[in-house]
Amino acid sequence: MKLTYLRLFTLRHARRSPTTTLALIAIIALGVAVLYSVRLANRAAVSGFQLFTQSLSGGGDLIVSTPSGSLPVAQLPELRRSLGKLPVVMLPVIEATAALPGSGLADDDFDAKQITLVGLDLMALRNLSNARASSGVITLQTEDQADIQLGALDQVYLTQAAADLLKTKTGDPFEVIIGDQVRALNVAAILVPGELDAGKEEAVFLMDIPAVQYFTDRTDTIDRVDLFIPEGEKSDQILADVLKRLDQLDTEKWVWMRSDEQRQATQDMTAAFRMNLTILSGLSLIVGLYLILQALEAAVVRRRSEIGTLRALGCTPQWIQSVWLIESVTLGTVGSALGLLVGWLLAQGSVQAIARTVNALYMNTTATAARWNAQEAALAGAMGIVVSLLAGWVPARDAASTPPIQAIRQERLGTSKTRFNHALWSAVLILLAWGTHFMPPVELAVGNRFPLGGYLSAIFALTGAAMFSGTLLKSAPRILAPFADISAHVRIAAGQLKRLTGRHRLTVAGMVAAIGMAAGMDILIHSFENTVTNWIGHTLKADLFVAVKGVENASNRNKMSEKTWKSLQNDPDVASADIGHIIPLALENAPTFVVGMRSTREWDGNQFIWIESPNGQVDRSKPDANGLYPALASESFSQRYSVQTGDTLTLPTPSGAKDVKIAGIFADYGNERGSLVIDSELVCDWFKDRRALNFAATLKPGVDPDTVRNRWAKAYPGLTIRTNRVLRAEVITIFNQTFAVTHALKAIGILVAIAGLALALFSLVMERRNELAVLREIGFSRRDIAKSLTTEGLFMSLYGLLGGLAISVWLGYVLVFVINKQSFGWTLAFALPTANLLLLSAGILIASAVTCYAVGVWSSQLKAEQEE
Amino acid sequence: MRNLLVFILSILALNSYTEKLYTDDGYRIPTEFPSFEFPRDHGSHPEFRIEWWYITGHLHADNKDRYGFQATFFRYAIKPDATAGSAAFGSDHIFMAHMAFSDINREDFYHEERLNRDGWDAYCSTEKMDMQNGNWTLTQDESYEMDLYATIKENVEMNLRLKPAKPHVTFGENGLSTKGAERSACSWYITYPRLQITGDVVLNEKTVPVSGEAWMDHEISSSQLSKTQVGWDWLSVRFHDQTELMLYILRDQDGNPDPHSKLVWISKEGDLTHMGPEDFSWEIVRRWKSVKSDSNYPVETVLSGTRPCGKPFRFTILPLFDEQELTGELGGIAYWEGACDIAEDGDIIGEAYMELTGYNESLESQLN
Repeated sequence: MKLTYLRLFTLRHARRSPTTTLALIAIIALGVAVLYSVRLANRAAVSGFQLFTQSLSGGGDLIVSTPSGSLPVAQLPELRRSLGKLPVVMLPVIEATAALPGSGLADDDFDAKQITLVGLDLMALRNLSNARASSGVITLQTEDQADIQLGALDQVYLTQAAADLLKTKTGDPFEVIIGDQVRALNVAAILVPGELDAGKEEAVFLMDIPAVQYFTDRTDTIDRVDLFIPEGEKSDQILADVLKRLDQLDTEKWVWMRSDEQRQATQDMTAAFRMNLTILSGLSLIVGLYLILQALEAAVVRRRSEIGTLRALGCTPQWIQSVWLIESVTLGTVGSALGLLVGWLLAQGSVQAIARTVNALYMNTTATAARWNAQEAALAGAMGIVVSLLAGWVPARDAASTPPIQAIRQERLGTSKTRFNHALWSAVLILLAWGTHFMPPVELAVGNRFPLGGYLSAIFALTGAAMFSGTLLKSAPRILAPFADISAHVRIAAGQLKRLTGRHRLTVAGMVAAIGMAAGMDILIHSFENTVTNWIGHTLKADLFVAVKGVENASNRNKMSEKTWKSLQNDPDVASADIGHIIPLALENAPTFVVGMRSTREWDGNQFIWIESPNGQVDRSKPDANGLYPALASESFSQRYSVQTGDTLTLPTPSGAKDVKIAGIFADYGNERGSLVIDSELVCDWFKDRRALNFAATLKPGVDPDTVRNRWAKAYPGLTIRTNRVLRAEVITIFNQTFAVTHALKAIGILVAIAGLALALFSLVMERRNELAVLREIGFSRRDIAKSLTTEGLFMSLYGLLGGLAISVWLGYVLVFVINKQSFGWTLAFALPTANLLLLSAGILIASAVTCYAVGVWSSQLKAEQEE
Repeated sequence: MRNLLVFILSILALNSYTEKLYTDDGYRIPTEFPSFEFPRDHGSHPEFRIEWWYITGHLHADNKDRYGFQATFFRYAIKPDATAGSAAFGSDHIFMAHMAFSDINREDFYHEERLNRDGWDAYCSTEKMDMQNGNWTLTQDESYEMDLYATIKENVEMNLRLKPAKPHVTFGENGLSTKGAERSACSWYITYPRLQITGDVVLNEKTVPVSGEAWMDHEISSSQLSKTQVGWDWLSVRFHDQTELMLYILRDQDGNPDPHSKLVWISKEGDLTHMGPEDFSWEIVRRWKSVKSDSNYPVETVLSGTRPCGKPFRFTILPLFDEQELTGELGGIAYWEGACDIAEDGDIIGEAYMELTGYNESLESQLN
């Protein structure tokens, strides 16, 4: 019987009010979709970094390299000797990126598709069968068993994904950009899914190792050696012996890690970023929780007579509470399922944006598609259901505790006074928000930090402000009082606000939270944008900027050869040039960059924005009396390694350990790994790499940048040449893409605020339908009723808006100075987006007015006994 | 590239002979009356296309355990169309190496193949015998004694000192070992027929001091097989009387010995007597079929004929156990290379190593 009640009670409602049910499902779906898509896209962006060779029969067991990340081949025999008799298969690896050539002039060259280019010793590869007996002979498994041409500069093996991308087949010629040159290659074979690509869907070019060395102008170095331990009973013992031997190597020349640790390190590197994104996307679920709570409470109101009937029929309060919770969970489940599907679709779109952010901030990644992930789906789905359950809890309790007689009488809910002191608790929460923002960051692996205190402060502040604003609403009738004579609908609105319900408070609180979050993010974005624009103005002064096609960040291995940058430098139209030699480096096991800026300019305020300026002029190429060379640390570097001006550092380089002294600290928003600027000649000599990552040319007076750009683009088809205007525009585009997710969350916040207001009003008028019917009887027009409700709603909206704006300043402060600073180590200049906030306010007020008026018009048609 | 050895042999077989002393693609062809200079000529000769150092031997432990081993270092020159200039990852030579170990008492056979390019992990000196392939090394010092270091996967480690008990010899008429009718089908064939061994073997973590004797070939050529040859049988014997014997039978498509097959006797003094296929017979007594390669090897044979002194002989070649097959995981060709005893009239009169190739698909069929 109770099951029948359940069916009648729940399903009938769903059938009769499909709009409400669908809206609830949509709200949950939206929250789950945002969370799932962000995590999926994020996962895809990071997993794109997985080493190609990790797909070789489960990958190498150990990865050996040098702290500078560039392993001189002359060191390889030392590694062989150190391993002695141990039966380890060594596979040297070099990686680069290839870009598909564009016109050289198009602005969209910046989006040139990058493809991982892996150089392996195609002969030594066969020895892997000695370590991976279970998988048999490791060969280049290709459709036609192509013969290997050792050292061939034009033979490339493609994964199926790469072949699809290029639309090529075996034997076809094609052109790509490697280093700064366009290279004509032939497809030697398409790799069939097997040991070499393990079915990876990533586009990869595979070539013989000397060919990649030649193309990248690195004939004396490689990236790493993957060590393969033979499978078998003794493999653990051999691995232990190998580790013992590696431990005896000079740590200034060698670094190594187990490949599972390497994978973990990749994860760790982006842990803070991923956590930030997850929290931000999780917020959309939390505000969704408020909406669901509103909607379920509205449903309790609408169905009070049914509750009363059920109680009268003998259903216990516990049973009624269970029914509501079952309904919540059902809604949550359906909404989550839909959300997962939508989230997966959204992820396909956002993966490139997130991949670009990861690229810009952390490392090269070549993610192309976000794949369905059961673990992430379970997490997002569970979140959706739990949030629904939590949101259903209060209405369920209300429904269960409503006495049958009160329920049937349709008395107003939630008017009862509570002993809960909102003002006191608000004050406590605000104090907590103040206190927690001083908390130092939580230290994570590889130099990452998580701003726990910042997030706690934001949550406390939001909650406190939301609670306080609800309480403040009591002042609304007093503010309305002087206008009471204007019209009856103002008096009615003031009357309603005098009899404040929990729903009024909840609505304002929800709006404060949603608007606060949206406006807070706007402040962060605006501060960031202002700072970066200022930084760009300071740093991007040259007329032309040159890089190898497809180069987006400092981790990129595609660089300009010395011949090329010297030729550009000596161009008769060039007045002066700044040439960036950028070397990725592992310092204290955390990745960072050493930068050699070849420039005639001094290390002064014209070139850098100082956080701590050097004491006097720095002679950058000469060591001091103690043999220490001067270096400038970026702010991120200074934070990650806890170094200040005057501190000394020892850098591992291929030429041995080098000591430097920090002469100053400068602002840099290019990456969060930090960078250390040293004299360019020293960098080239120490790291034995004279290639340049970027080249900025200031042209002679009167020379047209576009003319030179066109001339260079023809002469150097492997390079992307951007004018100052184009580069600035691209930087801003990237900036906007980076914040695409936050913009979306901002939009969700506003949407939730308005929807919450609408739902609240909807519930209120449902409760007041008898009053409304009376008003109609005594001559109130529909317009009067709508106006009265609009006034009431606008006041709630105004309080929500003011509270939200007020708390957004604090949230913006915490985001800029605590969360951002602790996560990325960047100092931003706090900037209020006044125009944006005004627009936001106007938008919310207008949307509120329209919504309230619409609800008002609709409610004026309600009959006293009408259910909906 | 699936079958590297096949690939190598195909070039060897199909390479056309010219009257010059160089092959069409510019590699030297061995000539008569070579003027060797040692220790240099124990080293590599990169002007020739192919070269190998081949050691086979028997080892004895104090506890009467017997072992056999094979250590082979190949060098093969290639000339790709475009060569990237990296000394560490050279593209001019490929070094293949085979290592095998027979635990005779337990009938366990261990083997491993390696394939590396000329460079940081594999090289061969042109100054003296000094070569490496991964962690396998073979070197010769000023006293012409050799050191061999090798491991086989996780099971075997060999650290052997090899001391020539007799001077090296050079096989072939006038210093040129001919293998076929084509002018280029020949080699310089330098051999240490008897090397005294001392050293240690670590077998499955147990260190065993060993001693014994070995045979070592060093062959230099640019082309060896004729188009009609499909495989070969090779045998080296060290008799207890301090004489030695070397035999190679090149088989044609019909399974008959090619006229260029040779039986060579080495006297105690190191004098050589060369005999052609008309001077001996080779009978198959028993075959062993490999389940791994499906090859049907004639593992037990009888070699008979007349000694240089005129006395007839009839030797039975007895494998010390059957399963001594290298399965050709990298080279692409499976072959049998195993430790044997030599018996005559029921008496064991010496130790031998026998190599049997081309018993699966014929080399000819694989080449085409």
